Amino acid sequence: MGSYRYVEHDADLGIEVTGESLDEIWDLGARALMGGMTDPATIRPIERVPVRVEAADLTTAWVETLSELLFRFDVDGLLLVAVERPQFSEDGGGVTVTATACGERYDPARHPSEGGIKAVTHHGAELRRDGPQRWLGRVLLDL
Amino acid sequence: MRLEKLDATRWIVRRTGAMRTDAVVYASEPIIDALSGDQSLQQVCNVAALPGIVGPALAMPDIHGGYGFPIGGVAAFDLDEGVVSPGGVGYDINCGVRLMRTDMVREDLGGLEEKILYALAVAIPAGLGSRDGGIKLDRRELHKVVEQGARFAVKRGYGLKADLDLIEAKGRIADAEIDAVSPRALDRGRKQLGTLGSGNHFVELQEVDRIFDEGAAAAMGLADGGITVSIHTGSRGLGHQVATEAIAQLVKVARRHGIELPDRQLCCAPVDSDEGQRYLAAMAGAANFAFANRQVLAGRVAEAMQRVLHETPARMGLRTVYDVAHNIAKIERHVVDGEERLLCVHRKGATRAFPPGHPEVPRVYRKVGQPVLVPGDMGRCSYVLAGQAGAMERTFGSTCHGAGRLLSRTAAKKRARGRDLEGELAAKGIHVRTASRHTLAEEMPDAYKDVEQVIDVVRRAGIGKPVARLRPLAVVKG
Repeated sequence: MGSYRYVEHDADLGIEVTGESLDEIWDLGARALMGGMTDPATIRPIERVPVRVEAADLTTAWVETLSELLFRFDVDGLLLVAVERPQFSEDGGGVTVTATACGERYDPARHPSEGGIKAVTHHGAELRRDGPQRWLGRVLLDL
Repeated sequence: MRLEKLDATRWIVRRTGAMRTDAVVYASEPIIDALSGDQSLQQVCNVAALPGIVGPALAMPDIHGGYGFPIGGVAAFDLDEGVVSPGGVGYDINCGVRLMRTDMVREDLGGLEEKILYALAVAIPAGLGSRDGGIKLDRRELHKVVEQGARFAVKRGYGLKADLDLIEAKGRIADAEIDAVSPRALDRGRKQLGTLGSGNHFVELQEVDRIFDEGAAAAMGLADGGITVSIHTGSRGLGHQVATEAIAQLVKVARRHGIELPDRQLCCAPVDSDEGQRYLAAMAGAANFAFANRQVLAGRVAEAMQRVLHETPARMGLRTVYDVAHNIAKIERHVVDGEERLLCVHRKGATRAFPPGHPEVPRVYRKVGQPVLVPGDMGRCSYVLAGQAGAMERTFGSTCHGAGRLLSRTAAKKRARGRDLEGELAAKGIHVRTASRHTLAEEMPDAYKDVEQVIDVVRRAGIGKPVARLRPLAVVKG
């Protein structure tokens, strides 16, 4: 069973996610990201949107998936709190991830504002195996 | 890493290992002590390792940990051999401050500070809900924002044409190219003109509570007891997206150019490469969006105050003092070892501070130096400085940009637990409205260093001269 927690940083906010699989890291990463903006428990997974990123490596792919969720919020007002069935494929020295992200449109009456997130940074970002059936991901959010 | 005290206001890590130059930090003993265990000193040394750096890698006394570059970082690069780094600008491209002044004193507000606060909060979308500034821009108009900067906002009726002379670069960086700004960045900015954002962004009603330099203050229209308004915001989602995409791209480009990166956020490209030029063109576009954004917000401040006080901006004497960026890279002329050179100067959490006589200082301030706007925290004070010759000689015309954080956001929330922060501020005569639940705790005065410590260092170092101190009366936070 995976989990996430927020980690101290000078001016901003780190998130640390652990999970038994990459699927869980992607899913909980989305939840942790939304938790930086509102209470994730208030977000219903009623809209589904496809997400696709290409990156040089797995860590970058995770950062870019989270960046994509942030982009969808700014552009469409979508709070995407879950990521389902991510598919990972490696080719030509890169990683492609396709997935379905789920959530709903921001409604100030139901989603309390915890503040905005400017960007998901690459600073100190890591995603690695941390045991036989355990993955660990860390990323820093610019607030 | 060995940090040596160079003189009363400077500490140095001499060039060693991969460093191509020294790292110099402007600070005091307490500021240096507070950096122990912090990553910011290492970050200054990492910047010193980048190709084509000219002079030392610098940090201002409001230094704290950033991504790649530290916050408070200043670094200049040769145009032929040096690099440009989006990490040296930050995600909020042209985050900066606008200061407006009035002829009014406290009594003229007639006890309506809270009403003004409410009117500002209504007029200026902030926090999570600030995705929509209520200004409809079609594709062609959005292109104009990116190309024209503050001028676009003036044409749309926000503020006055005269404001443009009182903005860094006259509110428009000419190198902006619309083709360099991706459709996704444009999408992200489409609805966000006229919004504040969140985090440390604010609009603050203030009064001048101390004048340090009568001549400079008079030139800036600042008098003891005078009412002012400060706006702190940047390029919103458009700038964040430009930075996000540039960082993803330049990590690969740096590898291709054989540039060793101690931190991926230090990714960069040679200034004269296609990728470097493209980033500078996109960054300039985002900077122009930010200049336009602050111009729109200044217009909305004027409308909000007029609504409450029933006076026109002209009768209130409401006008711009200055508008300055503190997250930017600019091509500037500087004298290095007696030779005048064009350099790419990165300021990440640092403010341009050009001295008296500099041709880029507006004519009205040419004798006193460029106004430098330094926000403190919502419970204590902010400063107006004037640029000094010392900054031109030693810091590529740069000085501090704020107080610098002391506590992480989590630590601030812990310290705020059980306290009535709103009541504490109200007891000091400061009204506050925050758009987000936790912002008040995260941004409380204790979370920041005392800006006085920072100002004391820049004054003693001769890289900024105090002109006036501003005390908050009412604060809208994102």
